[in-house]
Amino acid sequence: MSDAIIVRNLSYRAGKEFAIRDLAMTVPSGCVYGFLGPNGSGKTTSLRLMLGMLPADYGTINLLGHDVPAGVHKALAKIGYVPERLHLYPQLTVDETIRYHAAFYPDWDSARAEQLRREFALRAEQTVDRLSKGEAGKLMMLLALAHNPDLLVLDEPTDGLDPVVRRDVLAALLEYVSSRGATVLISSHLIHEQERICDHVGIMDDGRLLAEMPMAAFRGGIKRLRVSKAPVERGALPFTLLSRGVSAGREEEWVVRGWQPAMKEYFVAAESELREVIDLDLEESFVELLRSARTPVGMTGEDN
Amino acid sequence: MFKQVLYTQWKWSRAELMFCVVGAFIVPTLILRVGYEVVDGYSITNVLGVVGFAGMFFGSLSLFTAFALAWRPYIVDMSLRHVGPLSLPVPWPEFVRLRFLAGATLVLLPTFAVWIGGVIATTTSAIPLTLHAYPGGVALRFLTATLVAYAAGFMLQYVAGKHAVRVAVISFFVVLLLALAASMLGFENVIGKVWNVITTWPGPFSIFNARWMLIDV
Repeated sequence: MSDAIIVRNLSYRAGKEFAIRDLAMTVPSGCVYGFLGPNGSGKTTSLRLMLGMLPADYGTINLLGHDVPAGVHKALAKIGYVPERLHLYPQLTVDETIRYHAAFYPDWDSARAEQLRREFALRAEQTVDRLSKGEAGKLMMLLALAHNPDLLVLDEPTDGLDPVVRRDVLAALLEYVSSRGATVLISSHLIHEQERICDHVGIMDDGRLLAEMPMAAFRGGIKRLRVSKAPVERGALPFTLLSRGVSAGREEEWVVRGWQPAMKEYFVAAESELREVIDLDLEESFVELLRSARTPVGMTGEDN
Repeated sequence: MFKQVLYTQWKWSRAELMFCVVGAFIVPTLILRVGYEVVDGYSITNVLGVVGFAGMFFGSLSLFTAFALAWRPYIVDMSLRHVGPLSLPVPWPEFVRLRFLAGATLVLLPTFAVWIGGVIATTTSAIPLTLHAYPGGVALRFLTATLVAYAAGFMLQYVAGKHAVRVAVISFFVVLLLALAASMLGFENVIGKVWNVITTWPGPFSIFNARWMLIDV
């Protein structure tokens, strides 16, 4: 099996205002896939649809070789899920919560759970409603990891955690991924955090997947160009123009996707001058991609 | 799995269950003791009157137990948007079955208390010669009535979902208002008729309308 998650033509309407529209997404096995998007873009709804918690209006979902919803419970036995909000029973203690979850997972590793409990410094007799946000986050991560899942689905797992807890949680995650070769789908709006750990990204906005690509392509593929004497008639562009604005005088700033050094020939042919090619960091690339999706420039290359 | 589901439901409902258990132990004895002091303990009519009053307590206790057990797990799960149960690797109908069975198992606790409480109440009270004690019968009736009410409450929530609960509650108040309006306009008592239909055989709650007599002929 080469892909852990395959989603095709997925549609879901939640009320009058919000809908997931024609979502197509592929998470390759063994990768750490960053599911990026601003708050309210549909990341959590998409994850819930993928895990069979919401009924899709249309489309197909395959999770670890099982179709959703028919075989979702078989897939869930191999999935560790950390939801956006605490989903644990408040009156149970940490120890009771662990035992409760252990009963449902055939591959539960009690020794591993105990090891993680100690690593995360969680007191066994502490009730869930008395846990701090950081402790609750650690407990959810423990529950997601202790049955040795093949796929981890993490919905904003570090949101609101302090840097020390965030580091602990990410360290446990990376240690698990490196030792097991598991697939991770991690949703977040914390771009810099994703940049460090993800090798694939999917970018979501307003219920649509804007782009999906390897992290290296995303990181290196979006550039800001400083162009003087920019052509009015552009002709066919060899790259995707995401945005265009005047910076000073006749100088313009173009944000482009799919840039290659050989493409500077385009400006020579257009009798323009390419003055500078600036690398964008992931956050800037993310913002430019969102901006171009929300206000398309209508000045794109062959694939647009 | 069942053991863990049972444990969590016990933990959520234990305060209400303990209240029922203690009540079932003590209240029948108290009613009989106090009642016997007020009335002539050797008059069969008076004794049956006191025991009939105690019977109302068992019916109320049954309803309280049923709805405490049916509502509490649903409220907890709903407050967490059902994310916990839905993310577990068990089909939803299987999870609902476990929840139902766990609640039904917990009904045994107050049932046992009703039986023991009934035995204590009747063995410590003087019973006129022509009357007999039926603590086992009352306990069995309590179990059946509680399970019927529990199943109804559970079904309303878990099987039908919160939309159905809303519809049921709104419908109840609409029917109530219409019945009140009808009675004010001089029509016959609609509420009483509906009540009779559901609480007399073969109505679903006819068990509550039966004789809950700890001491009877």
